[in-house]
Parts: sequence; C-alpha cells; structure tokens
Amino acid sequence: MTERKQILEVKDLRVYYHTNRGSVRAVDGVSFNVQEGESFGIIGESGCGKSTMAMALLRLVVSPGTIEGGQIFLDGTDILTLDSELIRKIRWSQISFIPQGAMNSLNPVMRIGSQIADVITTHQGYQPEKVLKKRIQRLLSTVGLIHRVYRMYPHELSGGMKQRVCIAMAITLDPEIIIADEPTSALDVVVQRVVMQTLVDVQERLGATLILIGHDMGLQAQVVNRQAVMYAGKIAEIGEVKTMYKNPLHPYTKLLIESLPTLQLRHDFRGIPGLPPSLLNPPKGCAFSNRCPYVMEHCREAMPKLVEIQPNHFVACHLHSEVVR
Amino acid sequence: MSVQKEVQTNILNQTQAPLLEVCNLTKVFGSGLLQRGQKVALENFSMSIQDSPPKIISIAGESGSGKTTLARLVLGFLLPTQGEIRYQGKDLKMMDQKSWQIFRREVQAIFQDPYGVYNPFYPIDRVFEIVIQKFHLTKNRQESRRITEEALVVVGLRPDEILGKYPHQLSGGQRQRIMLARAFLLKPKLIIADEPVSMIDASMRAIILKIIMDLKDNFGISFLYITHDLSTAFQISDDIIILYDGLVAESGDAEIVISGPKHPYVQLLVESIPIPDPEQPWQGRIELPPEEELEKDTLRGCKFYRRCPYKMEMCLKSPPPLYNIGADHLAACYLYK
Repeated sequence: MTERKQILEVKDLRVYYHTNRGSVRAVDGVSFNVQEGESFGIIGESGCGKSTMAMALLRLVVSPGTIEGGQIFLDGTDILTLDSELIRKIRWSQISFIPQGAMNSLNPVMRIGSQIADVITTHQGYQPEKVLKKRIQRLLSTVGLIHRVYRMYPHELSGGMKQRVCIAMAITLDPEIIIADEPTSALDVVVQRVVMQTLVDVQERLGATLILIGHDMGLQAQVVNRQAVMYAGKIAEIGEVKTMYKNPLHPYTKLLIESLPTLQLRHDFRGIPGLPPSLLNPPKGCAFSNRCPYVMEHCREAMPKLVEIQPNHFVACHLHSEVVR
Repeated sequence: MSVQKEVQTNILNQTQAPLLEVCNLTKVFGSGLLQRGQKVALENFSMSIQDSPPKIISIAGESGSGKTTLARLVLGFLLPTQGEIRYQGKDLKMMDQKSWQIFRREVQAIFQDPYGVYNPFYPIDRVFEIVIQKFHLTKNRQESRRITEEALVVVGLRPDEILGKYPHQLSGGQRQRIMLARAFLLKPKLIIADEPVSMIDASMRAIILKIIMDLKDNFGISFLYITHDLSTAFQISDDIIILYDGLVAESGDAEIVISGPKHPYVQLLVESIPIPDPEQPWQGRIELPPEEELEKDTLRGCKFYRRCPYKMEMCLKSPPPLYNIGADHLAACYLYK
C-alpha cells in the first residue's frame, strides 16, 4: 500500500456556496490522499458535499459556489493554481469524469460516435475519420457495446448502455484518474452489476485510479479498497474498506452500516433519527452530535479532528481521540 | 347517513370478498396504425389481498417490468385493457359514485417523489386541510388540528416542527412521512406505496419502513409495496410478487422467495444485490447478451430466454405458465414443470 505513488492529494479543501442567507459550507476543510491505481470511495448521504467535492476535483465548481481555499495536488501540481487553459487540457486527459445521470449528459441530437470523436479531436487535434472510427469502435467494445452503437443516437440505447457510453468516453484519452459520481444510481441491480463490472475491468486494464462517489454502502463495499465517509461537508472516517466494515470507528459509519437492510435477518434494521445540520450555520462542535447515541458534552463544544487511530484508519470523533490522548 | 354507511360496510364484510382482487389484468399501451409500437406493460396478472389479517405485499421488478402500471391500474388512474380489479367485491369500472367515494377514501397512495407531490406555494397544513374538507372528517377547526397532530405523531413527527412550514423547509424523509400521515388520516384499509423510499437516504429509509410496518401491525392497514429493491422488500413484506417484463416470474412468501429463489431471473436478481460486506464479493461475472438490449420484443417464448443460463428448447416455443413449487409459491419456469 505504502509503496504506491500518491497521485492525488487534497489538503484542507473548502468549497462554499454563497447565498443571500450566508455561505453554505458544502465542503469544509477536507483532506485526503489517493494512491495510484487504487479504488477510492467517497460515501455520504444527500447534501453531505460529495458531489461538490467531485466538481472541485475537476475544478468545475460553478457560481454561486467557489473554492474558498485548500490545495488539490495532481501528480504534484496544485490544480487550483493552474490557469483555465491548462486545466482544460488536464480534464479528460489526466482526470476524467463519469456523471450521475448518463441519460442527461449525452447530446440527444448527436450520434454516439461523433460525441466521442469530439473528445478526441478537441484534445489531440484532427484525425482522419477512418482512424477515429476504428479507435472509437475499439473503445465501445472495451465497455461491452456492439460496433453498431457508433452510429446510434442516445435515445436508441437503454440506461445501462448509455452509462457504458459515458465510461467509454471517460477512458478515451487513457486518464490517470476516473471520477465516477454515482454512476449506477439510476440503474436496475443487474445492470448496475454489469456496469460496475465494466468500470472495474476498464480501470484495471488502464491501471487508472478510480474515485467512486456514492451513497450505497453495499456497492462501495463491492468495488472500492479504501473509502472516506463524509458527513455535513467534513470527513468522518477514512480507512480500508475491509477494516471499516468490520470495525467502524465513527458512530455515523456504524449506524449507516446498521441501517442497511440485509438479506439474512428480517425486520433487522434501524435508521438514524434526526437530520444533518444545516451547512449554512454549522454547529460549533461535531456535526453529528445531535444524532449521535454516544454524544458527550465535549462533542457539542469542540470540533473533532481527523486522527489516525490505527494504521491507515482515520476518524474524526472525540470518542477515539480521547483514547489516543 | 352514517348509519346507512355502516350497514353497508357490514353487509360487505359478511360476504367475505377479498379487500382487493385483481383478475387476469392486462394493460397495453399505444396503438398506432397497424398496431405497431404496442407495448404490453402488464399481462394476465392476478392477485388478491384479504381483508384480514393485514399484509404487506411487495411487487418487485426492474424498470419497465410493469410494477408502476399495476399501481396506477389499482388506483384507477388507468383503465385496464383486459381483466378486472375488484375492491371489496366491486369492479372498479362498474362502481357507483358512493362506492367510488368509499374506495377513494379507503385506498390511499404514496408516491416515489416526495418533492413533486407538494405545491410549493402552500404550507404543509393544506395537505391535511384538503383531505379533511373533502371527506368531511371533522366538524370544527380544533378537531381538525387535533387529528392532524395525531396523524403526525403516528409517523414520528413533532407537529410543532411541521405545521406552518413550507415544503422546501423539510427534508425528503419528513415529506414522505407527511404523505404517510395524510394517508393515515383517512384510516385507509390499503395503501399503495410506489417506491416510497427510493429517493430517501439510507439512514432515513429504515425509519420510513418501520412506520409502514407499524401502520400494518397497529392500525391494520395493508400495503401494496412497489419496489425495485429486493432487500427492503425482504425486510418488510409478507408476500412478494416479482415481475419480469410484464409477467409474473415468481411469487410467494417473501422470506422463502428471496432466501431461496427458484426462477433463474430472480436468482440473478438476488445475486446482484451488492452486499455491504467486502468479504462477500459478487460471485462470478454476468454478461448481458448485446443484442438482447436492442431487440427485446421479438421473442415468442419465455421473455427471459436470452439471459437465462438454463435455457431449453421448449422455452422458445411458448411462455412458461406459473408452476406450483411449494405452499403458495409459484414460478414461471419450465424447470419446474
């Protein structure tokens, strides 16, 4: 694990949305590293800032959002300092993106082939159509689509096929990092499995790094090696998936795993009562303190820091930081 | 008036007609010239829900399997192409106005999108006021307020935190619980819940499912729980019916069907659920035959043929009927002939 090269390093990233009522702290002081070739998961519930994070990694945060501070090192260069022309070159060739709703991200009036060709010609300049076609058809078969898809329009494809077209598009330029934001949330379970299978195959073949953003603990457990759990704009826990599911340290992670319905025991699940705090005026202490069954007085006063409790296992919770102290 | 109504319901109860009975229901969408572009959304579907004990019956299937069509047919939003839906013995199509009123009151619906069902310009209270007025539930304002608060408490909400607020001030989970409270207000016998938790976060999902189970256990409300998620169906439902492309693939006791699926499609479906345990990875690989996705409708026999690992010659000739493979356990597959 440690021998691997660190490909992405996020340091104290802050992304705020500015509204009339104040700043919404969607991503608030997040730091993590991703190693080359690994699958890294970012998991959290709606509104926890995970999609904003994806946008920030691509530097695609749009108004009223702004990146307020922090650094994102991609291969050692801070992409937040690059000018927009340079960042355009990096997008797709070094860091590519698979969006959530593939149905809405393809152009309905362009054939699949020309949409993918666009990606290639924009980055690598003009290429004769014959060469392009061959290359695109090879790409399509990598993701398990037939050559005929090249000439088809998005409406002729099923949801799973469109999602696979998006995967093909994301790997067109052999990127080092693929960011997938809930790539299968609109798909049926069987198709979801096929799409994930495709994504993992492609990632392994390219030796690329995958950052999988999602809300489904089950899917993350199946796909990623390491994951970060986000809550209210902050990271609650980061660690290897295998240890995290066996021994979750943060109460939120623990409850989130317990709230999943299983297929073994019936009537065996419970939710987490309460709501996440508003990101407009986040509480002074721990953001989870109002829902946490283990809450202590200290939790409402001071924000817990992300601390390494076990090797490679970080948690932001006073329950654990006290032990260390 | 009210005495009359009571007598009427008593008579109905004596006849012991099932609460809801669906017989050979078929729905075909679209016609067009020369009957091209027709889509059979639901074919020859039958089921029944008894008056008591209350049950949660899941209708599961992937998108396009016909589960929402079924919900819309049962609610009377769509007219069946063929077949009958009977509520307490009365055909929905033949109902007089009075029975229709009773049906409208006793059968309630919860929909998938808790954002789309509210009018953003009115406070939440209006959702309750409308039903109270429409069905003359109370005589005065105080009483209306009381029963509204009561309903909110049943679904685990604090009335003072909800009433007077506007939809945008509430979370998806709160809104979906308000929909349950609204339905509860009418003391329904049956709630059709079409994907009620698919847009809700995991931590809230369990809470809503618990409320559904409470409503069944404590208030005798039956549910038709329509879902694509077999794990929640397994958790809360008594019976399950799994649809594939408009036809029943397998049906029976939810626990038996999901822990030991017999139909190859249901087996594939259960295997594909991602288990939240990294030590239990998906076994093997699955491939979707590429042409299947493009030309789904050209088949005469079993609709699952192209994806089936056990395909036999007979599967191509005619669609398999439902075979009895255990106590109330049916599967539409020639393997069980």
